[in-house]
Amino acid sequence: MNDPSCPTQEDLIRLAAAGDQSAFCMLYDQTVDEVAVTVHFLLGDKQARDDVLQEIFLEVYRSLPRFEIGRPFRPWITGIAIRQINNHRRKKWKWFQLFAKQQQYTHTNAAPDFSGDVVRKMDNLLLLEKINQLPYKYREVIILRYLQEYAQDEVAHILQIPVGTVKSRISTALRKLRSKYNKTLHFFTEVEKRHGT
Amino acid sequence: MELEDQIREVLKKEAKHIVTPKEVKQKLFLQIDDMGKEGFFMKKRLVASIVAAALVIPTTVLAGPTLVEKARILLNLEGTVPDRSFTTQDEQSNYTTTNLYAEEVAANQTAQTALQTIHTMYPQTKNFEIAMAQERKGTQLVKELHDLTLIVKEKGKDFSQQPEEVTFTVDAKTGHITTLIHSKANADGNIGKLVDKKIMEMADQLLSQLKIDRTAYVTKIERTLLKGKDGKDEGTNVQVIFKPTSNELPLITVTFSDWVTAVAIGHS
Repeated sequence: MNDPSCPTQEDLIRLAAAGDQSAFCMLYDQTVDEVAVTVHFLLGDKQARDDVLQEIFLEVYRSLPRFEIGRPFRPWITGIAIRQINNHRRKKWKWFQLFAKQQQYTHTNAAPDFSGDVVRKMDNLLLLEKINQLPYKYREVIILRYLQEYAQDEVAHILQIPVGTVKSRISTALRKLRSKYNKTLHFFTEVEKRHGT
Repeated sequence: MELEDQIREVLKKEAKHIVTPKEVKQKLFLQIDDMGKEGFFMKKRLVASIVAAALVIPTTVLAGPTLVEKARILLNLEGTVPDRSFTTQDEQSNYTTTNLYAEEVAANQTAQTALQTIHTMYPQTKNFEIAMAQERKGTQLVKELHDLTLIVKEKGKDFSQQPEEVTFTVDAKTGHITTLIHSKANADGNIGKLVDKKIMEMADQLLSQLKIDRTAYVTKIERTLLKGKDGKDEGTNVQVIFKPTSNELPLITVTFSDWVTAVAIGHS
């Protein structure tokens, strides 16, 4: 049971909305980990991650006075995070394109390290890599649905798209992952057989 | 394992390794502070809101005295701290709070002026005892902090017995009042039924007693229905927001509930 004498999250929101930085500091501490994880998985750009995280919380601070008390806070803050990530992606679009192409080039020309990949497979990191390689709109629904455990209608609300679109994106994302994952697993199984590992 | 479960597992496992650098928080608060220096409106509400907002919210808290307890904690006025003085030091604050002895209160001009104001506004408090007198000195949110808080309460009752009490905070340097909280011994039960005109009259009267000129302000009344843990109605909080028409003036909020009346003035 909560200690009634301690400020609840709603108290903190009200105080922070009114400009109380100590309350905002506590709200930040309560929410930053989850937001940071979302940024991590959706942004990809490690260097910009901290800047975007800062932008998100700045936007949260600015927007708090408009937050309707009584509504769930977690999806609201995730919605802001998603918008800021998208803003960043739009701003850096050209840069991303170049960077991504270069990365892809480097990646495909690198000598495959079978032993490393086999170990990673053991740790499920292979699947993680496949998730990271998903097109952004599919990765977005996967992160919100399976990492943040939002219901489909909450995902729809956060992304401001119809629930039907969420369902269809999740379904397509799963199909893509299943196919990619199975192909890679098959490849490594063959490699393992040949190497006798 | 199903693919969906595997996805959950792998993402959550990876998430555990993600660490947010402390610098992000530091930079964020520096930036927020810069916004304040540029005259960001929210900054104006800073002090004013602390008590008033604490009193508006508590949809999950049952009784008035708990609200006062909460306000006390939010104001860092626990009053139960046994030490003569203690330091609060974090990213935003660095100040020392000193509990004053009775003779210090008697010799402190700011404290005496504050007591006189309390006695004039609430004559019954002449028989009350000083439950706590604290002076805070240092910096808060990169600004100099030097204020004095007095709590007077009915004699012979401790806080757990829900005494009538008045909390009063003044800026020790300028003499400006920053907060006044009057918690009643018995609930009113009528606040929610009062029309806006009556509420405004009550707010005006309070500000006039505090000698605060409210002519250069626009006003707005906000009503919040309080709900108990079981969803039962717990009365209404009515807040009058006095928004200044000039940047030089502080934002003022006056909050009425069945148990508590609070005035908060956000001197920047």
